Amino acid sequence: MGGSVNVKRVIGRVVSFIIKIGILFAVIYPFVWLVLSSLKFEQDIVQYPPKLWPNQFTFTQYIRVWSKLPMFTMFKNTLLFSASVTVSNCLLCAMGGYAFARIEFRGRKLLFVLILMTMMIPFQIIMIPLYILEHMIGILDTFWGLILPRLTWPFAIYLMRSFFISLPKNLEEAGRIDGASEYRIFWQIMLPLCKAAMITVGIMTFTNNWNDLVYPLLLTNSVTMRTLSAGLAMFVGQRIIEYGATLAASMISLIPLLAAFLFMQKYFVKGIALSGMKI
Amino acid sequence: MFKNIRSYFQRTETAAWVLLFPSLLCLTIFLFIPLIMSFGLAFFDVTIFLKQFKFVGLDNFIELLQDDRFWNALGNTVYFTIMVVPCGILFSLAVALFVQGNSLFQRFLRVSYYVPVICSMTAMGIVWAVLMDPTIGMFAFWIRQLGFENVQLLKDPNLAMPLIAAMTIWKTFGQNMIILVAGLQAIPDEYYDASMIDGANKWKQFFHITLPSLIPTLGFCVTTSTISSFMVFDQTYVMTRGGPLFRTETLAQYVYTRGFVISPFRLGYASSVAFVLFIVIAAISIAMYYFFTKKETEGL
Amino acid sequence: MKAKRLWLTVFSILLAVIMITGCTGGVQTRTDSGAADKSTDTAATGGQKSVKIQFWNGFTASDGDILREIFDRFNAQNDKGITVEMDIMPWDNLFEKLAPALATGTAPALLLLGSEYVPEYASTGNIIPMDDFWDWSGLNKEIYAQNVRDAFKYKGTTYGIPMQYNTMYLYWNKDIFAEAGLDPEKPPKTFDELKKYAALMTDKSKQQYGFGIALGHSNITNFLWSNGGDWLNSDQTEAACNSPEMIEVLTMLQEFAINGHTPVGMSGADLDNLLFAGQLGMYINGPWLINGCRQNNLNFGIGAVPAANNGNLQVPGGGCAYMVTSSASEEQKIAAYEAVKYWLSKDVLKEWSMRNGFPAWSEEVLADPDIKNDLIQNTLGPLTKYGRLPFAGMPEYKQMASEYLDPLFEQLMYQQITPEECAKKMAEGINAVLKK
Repeated sequence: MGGSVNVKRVIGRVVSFIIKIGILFAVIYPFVWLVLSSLKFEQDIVQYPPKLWPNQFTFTQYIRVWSKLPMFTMFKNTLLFSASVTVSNCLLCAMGGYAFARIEFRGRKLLFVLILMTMMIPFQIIMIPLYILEHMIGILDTFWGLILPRLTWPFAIYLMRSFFISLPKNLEEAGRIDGASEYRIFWQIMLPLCKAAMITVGIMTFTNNWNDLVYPLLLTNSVTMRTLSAGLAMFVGQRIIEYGATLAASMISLIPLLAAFLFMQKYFVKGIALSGMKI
Repeated sequence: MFKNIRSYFQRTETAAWVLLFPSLLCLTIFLFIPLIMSFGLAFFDVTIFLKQFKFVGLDNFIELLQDDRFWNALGNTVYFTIMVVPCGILFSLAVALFVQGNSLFQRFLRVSYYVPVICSMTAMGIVWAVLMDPTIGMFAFWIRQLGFENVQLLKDPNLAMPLIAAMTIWKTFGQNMIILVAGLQAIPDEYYDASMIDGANKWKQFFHITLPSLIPTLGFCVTTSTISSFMVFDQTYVMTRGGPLFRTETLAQYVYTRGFVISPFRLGYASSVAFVLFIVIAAISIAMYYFFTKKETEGL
Repeated sequence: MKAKRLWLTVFSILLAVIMITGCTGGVQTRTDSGAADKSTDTAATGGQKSVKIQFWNGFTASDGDILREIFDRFNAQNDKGITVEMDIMPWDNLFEKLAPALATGTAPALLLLGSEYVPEYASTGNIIPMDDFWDWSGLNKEIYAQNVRDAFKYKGTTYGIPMQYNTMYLYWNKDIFAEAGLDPEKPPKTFDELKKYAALMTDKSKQQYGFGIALGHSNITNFLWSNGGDWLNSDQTEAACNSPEMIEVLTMLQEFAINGHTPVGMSGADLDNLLFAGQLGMYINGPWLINGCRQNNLNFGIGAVPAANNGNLQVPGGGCAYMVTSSASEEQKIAAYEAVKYWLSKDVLKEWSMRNGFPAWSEEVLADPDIKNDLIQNTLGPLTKYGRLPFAGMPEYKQMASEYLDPLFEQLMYQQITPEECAKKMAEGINAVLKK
């Protein structure tokens, strides 16, 4: 009896190991292809039969991207845009999420549903009004014009609310008895507790805005304001696609993101783990 | 006087509004106002050049009901959502169960599985489109090695949408997985210990403890995935442009095509399509929100 | 405690990043939004007025690099203090932005658009007439090919000064020709030869196709005119495409698909890849593939599209032109004219043709010894005269194409409809749009 249970367990472990590795392979393969192809000469990328390993390694694609685009400016723009949006999202969405989760006020349900609904707007539909609006306010083609509309993010408010709702009820009671103001309770008791959730929101905001293409392209008119992902589009012509350079540009925009993610991942994975999630 | 203002701001209800104020201000100016402007356009006959506005009342909506491409796009969007949401979430849940532990290997897997989520859809779309080319693509090559000669992949009208759904699951399952892992880890160990004493097997444990405790988390995943599936655009835009034979044209894509691609760039009509899209998503997700909130309090 | 410190570190790093990038000039309250308003200022040197104009185009790939070089040179060399600020973005994004920019008067003064957009943008008053350009510039317009200059007219008024012009050409892979026992120097001249060669070069076991037909109705036009048919009647009031000539062409195209001599459902970019990878025997496309073929070390030939069996040849032509938008001030318009005039100089046009493979279209350039000795220029130049604009001067063209012609052609290639049905439905579609 005991023997068969053991065999069963071993088989189960082997099977689950194979599945895990299989999924890992499926997830990683396109990236391996991406990395290796960005190190190929143009004629080796599209070839028959397809080959993964380069016939010859080369950095020409990276050099081409580097020489064509003002990488430093683009990098700076992307960082400035993503970082400021991230900081403000973490703070504003924590505030909003907290209010929805822990404070009873009139119209709370309705307002929350309204915020939920703003998640459902395809960007294509507000593109033109947004452009005209920014023109009227006079912030078109400025960093303010890029940053202001993204100061807050409904998805993150939703996430933050889910986090705060799962915290024990008596937390703020203690503060209230001590006579602390609501703001003080939020700032000194609640905010420190949600740093993990804030890291989650931070990573999501940062990557989303880092990768966004249409939005920054729409709201900026000068080359000096372009972000890295716009750089990616610079090699995809209507009639010609320069695969090598496109892939190299994707790698260049991906690497800083990946580095940031790996640096933060420990807190990120833990971040949601702490939250417990309630809707 | 000053004291009055001070005590007014100290009130709990006021505090909520103060905390919400920056977010609400930003959303009102940059989201609600453009949205209202845009939905207003649905009642006009107007092109993207915004030159001549002609009020047409509900004409755009009436036209929409007779528009085959609209119904086709709606069908495609629903088809896509039906594939992506249940399959994607079941897959994410299965993976989450596999990698919920805290061993180094499992943590490594979690981080690796999340990598596609942080990449740009545009870049990944280009990579996948090359990999899935029926002639020179790596995937088609493998499939031919397996003995299937006629591989069309994205060029096959019946396969295009399932393949795009598969790619979407590949790109996004990490997000739900990480959230579900968090949900799983938050279930107190005592629950399991208690059921062990009762002699429950793994399956029983899963259905009686794990699943009920996961309801809120699952609700969050289902709601957000449904919303993003209904708005699917980037994947089809990069990989198929709605083809072959309009089989992958989704509602968001149709809005875009009507407004920006097909002359005479009928923004008013496109807005009416968007309006319908918005209503559909809103109805479904609010229903889901209430369903899961109810389940949460009642249990399964 | 440790966690708190890390938290603070992360936050302060982010803040520091913002401060640093902000201080190095990132945040400006308002960068020069360039467009129509207030983009003129007095230069410090000599009190001469300097003019800045914005210039948008969608030349994202390698041809954009050459374009940028040329305009950088113009900015440095011109003595009128004109600066052309070029902004390249994908065509799709360009059109998304252009509409609200035109509506708010913030569009660039100068634009590059394809000939097919002229009627649409001219009829809506978004681009302005340029009839006065030739007199203003003092250039002799007779040396520039007339069909090219006329390609950008709408109702008799010039709305664009040509930048480049091309027709369609046949590319063929000489290695595949040789393998199939064909003479690599002798491309097919007629429909029959095209069919025969395509059959000979198709090899399923090697995933090799004889002829590539992409999506899009222009593949029909490539053969329709040669075959004596046309899309519309001569005064463009009614469809004329439900004709035996049309059905013959459609039948031929569908047979390529039925016999498996062409892959089905491929976009132009997909087929470009097949050509580059050496899997495609013959392919019809514009001159923009020349550089790609060279980069991929392809042993290729380029020449005239096979004509109908009676030898008659007429293929779709088209091009890009410089256009001035309604947002431009008078001063900016003149600055734009200066830039266009610079483009029309012999050296610039020659450079563009030589480096980019587009055929020369001015007598001066055609007479240049370098152009004459260039094999590709020598082949393509004479073909320019066979080019003709499809649906010339019709604002409805794009709508017909995207609502009826392209989808129906796709159905034809996927064998969902017969050639007869296709011709009939296309004619009905065209008439439906014309009636509105």
